[in-house]
Amino acid sequence: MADRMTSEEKARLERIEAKKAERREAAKKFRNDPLKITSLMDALTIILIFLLKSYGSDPMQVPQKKNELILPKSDSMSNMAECVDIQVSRTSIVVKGKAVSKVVDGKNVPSDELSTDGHIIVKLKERLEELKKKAESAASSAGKKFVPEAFIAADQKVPWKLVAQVLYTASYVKYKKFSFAIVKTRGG
Amino acid sequence: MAKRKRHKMEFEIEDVNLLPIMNLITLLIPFLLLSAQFIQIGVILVEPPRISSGGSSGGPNNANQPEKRELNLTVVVTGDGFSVNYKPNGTPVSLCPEKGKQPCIKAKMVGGKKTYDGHALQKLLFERVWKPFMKRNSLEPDKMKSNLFKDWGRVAILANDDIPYEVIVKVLDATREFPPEAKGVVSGRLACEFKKPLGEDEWVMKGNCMFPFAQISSQ
Repeated sequence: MADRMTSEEKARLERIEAKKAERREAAKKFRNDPLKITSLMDALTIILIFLLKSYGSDPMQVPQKKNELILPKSDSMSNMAECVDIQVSRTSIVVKGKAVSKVVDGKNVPSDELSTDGHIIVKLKERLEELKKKAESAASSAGKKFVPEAFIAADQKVPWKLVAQVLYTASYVKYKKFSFAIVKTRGG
Repeated sequence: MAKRKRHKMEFEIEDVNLLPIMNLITLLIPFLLLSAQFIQIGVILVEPPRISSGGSSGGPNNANQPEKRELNLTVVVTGDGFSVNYKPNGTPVSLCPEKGKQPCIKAKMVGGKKTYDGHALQKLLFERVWKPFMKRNSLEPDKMKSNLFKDWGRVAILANDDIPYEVIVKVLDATREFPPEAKGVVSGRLACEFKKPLGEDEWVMKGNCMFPFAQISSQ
């Protein structure tokens, strides 16, 4: 039989065989090849690490809100430290998450919440005194000296008078150091 | 036969099953993205305001050197602009380039919004105050004894009540940081930074600062 085949037929058969083998090979390749996700994993791991790094680096977060509390921008490079935070927004004054006073028209504290000379915000004074006493007793039981510090996050549009009243009140309660919260314009 | 096959299977390299890790990561990333802070919040240190007419609060001063003078550098912020004055010889001198013209640096209206020129103030303080006195003054603690002014590094800012807070921050930036013109005059990086080492009570000054101790008061 075989020797009766013409060379032409032989060549045709060979071609068919070759094609079949090729197809088999291709099918095998397709079945065995899993999705290549190594590079995707690399990228995702790097993103994950960066996000985790930015997650817990700041000791305090200031929730910014449009038309209420937008921090001014500054070239300052200093980072914040743990201390009492006072938020002065266009609607209220908040100390450690507790509102102490209202702000009217994004400008003033109602005059009945001010002391007679107009420099001290009474409710703020009481709250700061309470916080200071608490921190002092905690520091003394730990055998440490307590330096009262205040961190003021104020909206960029509030008048200076409002921030000054907060500053006066805090320094009246003997807070020694003040820091203003800003949004950094340069990295570092 | 079957035994041989199993034996062979053990040596086959299998792909690591990444599916559970992928599940975890794809869940973690959106959550972290939501809570991530893309803006960096920093601080500016300020001194407490002077309530009574009592002496200045702390800072670098040497009581045993009475011959030292006070510079009393003051920046006044009004609705019209900035004026700067100091007392290099005991009498108040205005730092305005043109005499009698107040304020020195006028606020301009740009696009219907009042804009204060912080850079001009920075340049004025650098050229007229810092540069003439820098050889005899320093913020370095070891050179403190040779200082001419005991309140070097301090600046008083007097602001009108209705000035927006962001302008105050701009003034604080202008007094604390060196202007870009200081490149070459001041060695090192032009950045003023305060750091609080862990467990310490005091802030430590790092980098180059012009007048970093600001005391703001109402006018």
